[in-house]
Amino acid sequence: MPSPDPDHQLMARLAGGDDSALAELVARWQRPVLAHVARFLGCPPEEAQDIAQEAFLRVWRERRRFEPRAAFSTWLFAIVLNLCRNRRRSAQRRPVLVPIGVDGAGEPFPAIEAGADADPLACARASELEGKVRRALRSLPESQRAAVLLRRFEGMSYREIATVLGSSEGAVESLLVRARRALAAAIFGDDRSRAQEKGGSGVEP
Amino acid sequence: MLNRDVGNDCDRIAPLLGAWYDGELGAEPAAGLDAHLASCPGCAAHVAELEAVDGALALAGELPEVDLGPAVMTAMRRERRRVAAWRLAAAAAVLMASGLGLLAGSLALGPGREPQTPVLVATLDSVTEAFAPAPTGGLSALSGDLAAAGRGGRR
Repeated sequence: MPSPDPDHQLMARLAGGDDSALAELVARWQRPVLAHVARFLGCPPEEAQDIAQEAFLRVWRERRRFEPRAAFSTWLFAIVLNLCRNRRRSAQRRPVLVPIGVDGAGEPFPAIEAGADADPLACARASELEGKVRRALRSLPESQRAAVLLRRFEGMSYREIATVLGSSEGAVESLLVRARRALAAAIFGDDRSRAQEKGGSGVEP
Repeated sequence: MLNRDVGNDCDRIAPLLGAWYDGELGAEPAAGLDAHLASCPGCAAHVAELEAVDGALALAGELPEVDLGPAVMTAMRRERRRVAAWRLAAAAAVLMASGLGLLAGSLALGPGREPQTPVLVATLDSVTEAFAPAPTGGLSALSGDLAAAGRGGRR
């Protein structure tokens, strides 16, 4: 009986030599993959596209090695994460070539668009917070960052995240605890101390 | 799902709040935690912080619309052709190696026998055709040599 999972069906077609299944997989998964790469690396869109493209090429190369028992999403994100880590390492070897986050240059996402009637002060605060969030993410260790992004944006369970990272559910739980604590401190640290001066609860962003 | 015993003191509950927030605690401990949160402002504030972090992460961005499909399919077809060419070259190498063996054998036997040399030359010609219009002389030169050798052998 064929598996009802559409991704499994596409992988079966791909393994059987039907190349058009690859185009369908790309159409289904490119947005989450691109966004994950850009958030994970904090890289410009061109670099994220490069890595995402390579990830789908790997899906094609490994089409006969995919186990239908595995979830396609965890398999795909394990490939993506692996490519991101390799890219990061090779970027560290030649740091001059990757101008990440210098005065807003090389930011992965366009800044929040200001409407014509937007309050300039509110806009400034929003983009300040945006910068804080991105810097906070980038400062997390890779496993923590991957765990928090897979949880927040892919809605993966601890078990699924553990499959992607090749670790255990318990390890994922503690990665997430540490990641969120660090993010809260980096993003809300100042506001929190300000709020405490005023006697507030200190948890409002 | 992580099944834990949940007591009622904050020190034991605080490390479980993340799993509770993510819906990863079993039903029973989660119910215990619900009850605790209703009466503990400290733990409730911790949960509010988890929500605030999730909210702020939305600012990590959305990508503009792009379609990777055409680029991926082009790269895939290019790689498929490269792999096919490699296989063909490997097959040709095997053919040539065995052909040379046959030639050597026939040369050793002398002109009395006519071995499969013409068959070999025809095969190599089809291989070089497959590689046309590649300008490199590798295979064509080799097959030319072999053909010459073959003619020499028949003489």
